[in-house]
Amino acid sequence: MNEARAAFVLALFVGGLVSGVVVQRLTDSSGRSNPYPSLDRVDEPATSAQVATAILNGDAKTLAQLVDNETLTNLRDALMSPMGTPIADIRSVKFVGATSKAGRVLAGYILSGKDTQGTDAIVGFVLDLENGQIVGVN
Amino acid sequence: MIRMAFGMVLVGIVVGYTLSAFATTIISDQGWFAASGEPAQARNYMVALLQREAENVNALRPQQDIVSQALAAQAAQQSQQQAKPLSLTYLGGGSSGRLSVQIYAVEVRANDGTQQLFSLALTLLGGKVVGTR
Repeated sequence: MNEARAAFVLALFVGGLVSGVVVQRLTDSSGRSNPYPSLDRVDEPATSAQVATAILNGDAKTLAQLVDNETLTNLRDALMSPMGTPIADIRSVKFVGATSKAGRVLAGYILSGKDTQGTDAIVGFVLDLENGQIVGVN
Repeated sequence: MIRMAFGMVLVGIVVGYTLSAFATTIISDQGWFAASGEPAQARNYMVALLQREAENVNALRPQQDIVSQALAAQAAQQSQQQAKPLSLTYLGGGSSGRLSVQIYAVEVRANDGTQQLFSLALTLLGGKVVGTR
């Protein structure tokens, strides 16, 4: 009889626990919803994929062919670690998503590696394309 | 007996709610699992930025001095006169340790009627936006 009662009490507690978690998740207001519409996502553009591969492989020659001088300068600035030091050892360049509007495509990448001081670093950069050509970087 | 049953359920709800809220805060602040989806802080920051809510923007940044806060408020007022947000698109993100980077595409209409599409990359550390570009 005592065991049955203990099991019943435990079941009530566990049931309440689960209910509490469910209520918290349903009422959690820490995240605001996006009040603006979102643009459609598009596939990774071939040109920006080539740039990402060149960065990952340390292929300066290909990079120089794909990107003009001004954009290369901006790309160098974009690839600074949050500490303001260049990322010297690039371990991965991951495409995260792209969107398009009126012929312009923004393709986002996340680059991770180590900066010149040996600290783990992660940066995001976005390639701006028009008519398949890279016209800017952020 | 009924009182005890009611009490156990109530204690369970309180404990479950508290544990869930605590876990949510820790996971969010540490940036765990940020690579799998859009962190709430990043979206909150972007929405506050586009809606020119200087106080909410400041709340999501590391503590700043009063002059920096005033400059941010001025920038928000000026952008209000300059552009109207049309769309906000989350492109994706990634994390390394406590650092996380989230990328957005923003479309605005300027006062002269032209539409512009640009990107913003947010760097988050411990649930705060420590850098934007």
